[in-house]
Amino acid sequence: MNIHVEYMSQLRSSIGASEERFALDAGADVAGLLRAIAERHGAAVAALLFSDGGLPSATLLCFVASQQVNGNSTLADGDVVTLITPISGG
Amino acid sequence: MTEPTALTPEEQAAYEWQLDVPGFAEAGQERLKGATALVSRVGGLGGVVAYELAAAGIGRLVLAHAGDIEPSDLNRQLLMTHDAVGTSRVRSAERRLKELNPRLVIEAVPENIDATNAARLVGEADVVIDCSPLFEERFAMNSEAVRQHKPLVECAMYELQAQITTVLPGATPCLACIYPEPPPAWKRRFPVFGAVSGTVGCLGAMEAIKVLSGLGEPLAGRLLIMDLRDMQFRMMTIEQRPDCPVCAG
Repeated sequence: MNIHVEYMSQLRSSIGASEERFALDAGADVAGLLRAIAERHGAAVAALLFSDGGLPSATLLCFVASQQVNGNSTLADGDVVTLITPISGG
Repeated sequence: MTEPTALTPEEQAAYEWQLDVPGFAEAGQERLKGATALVSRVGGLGGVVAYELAAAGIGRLVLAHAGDIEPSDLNRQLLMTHDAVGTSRVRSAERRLKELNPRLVIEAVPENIDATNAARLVGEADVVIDCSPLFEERFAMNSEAVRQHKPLVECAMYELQAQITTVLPGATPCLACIYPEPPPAWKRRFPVFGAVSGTVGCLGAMEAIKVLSGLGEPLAGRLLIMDLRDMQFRMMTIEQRPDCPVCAG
């Protein structure tokens, strides 16, 4: 299945792109998508996506369309996933 | 929450353009005049929040910001001036705000929010606007706002992007629902334009005005995300964490 991913904030800067497409097996979940992103982009990006224990970072905001989801959420063909790493003021 | 305070003829004249806003009127202005807002940091983001609240006629501002003005503040911190580099940020903010609105009561606190002062400063406010860069400040404010049932406007920015939501304790996700732990890879210094901090600062002020006056619908349980690079504004739904250590139960 095809997933359209949009990156925001520090994640976008680290990847160097605002969006990408991934082909995943049917039934893949958000955590599987994050692993695919980390495999494509390496350790610096993986550090933004996963905690030290290898689970999806609790501070990573994940949305499918406009609805917040978590790492266990199953994706469907054509989903648009938005990923936002934490930002603050100043 | 706020105690409406009657307007003077001078105030009626000063605010006549917004007194015509449907759903606001003199009753909304009186609620604003009777209200206190805590703005944490008066830099690129909080300075604009404070300026818009001062212009709108809020009665009292509590401003918390430590440190002195640095040259690198001046691309975005509109309450700071070139001739005041090296002097107190919060005093500069106080001076600029009083120039705009001499009726405004200001408590200028030359400290950043932390666990030792959050209870007192949040306790003085009817609404809190979080414009802080450090997550420990943000978490301290969030915990106290939830504990004291004070609405909290959460503003943030990065590069040409920004986001904002309003926490209504007991009804919406709090900051610890959004970020349940300090973000490990977050960096204190980040790229941003002053026009980006100003954009989200204006929205933060508008949220505070709405919460205080009862006007409109605040961003409760919704996260507005903005990308000014292509001018996309999107509304996302955010969820409470059932195991949130701050607001659950």
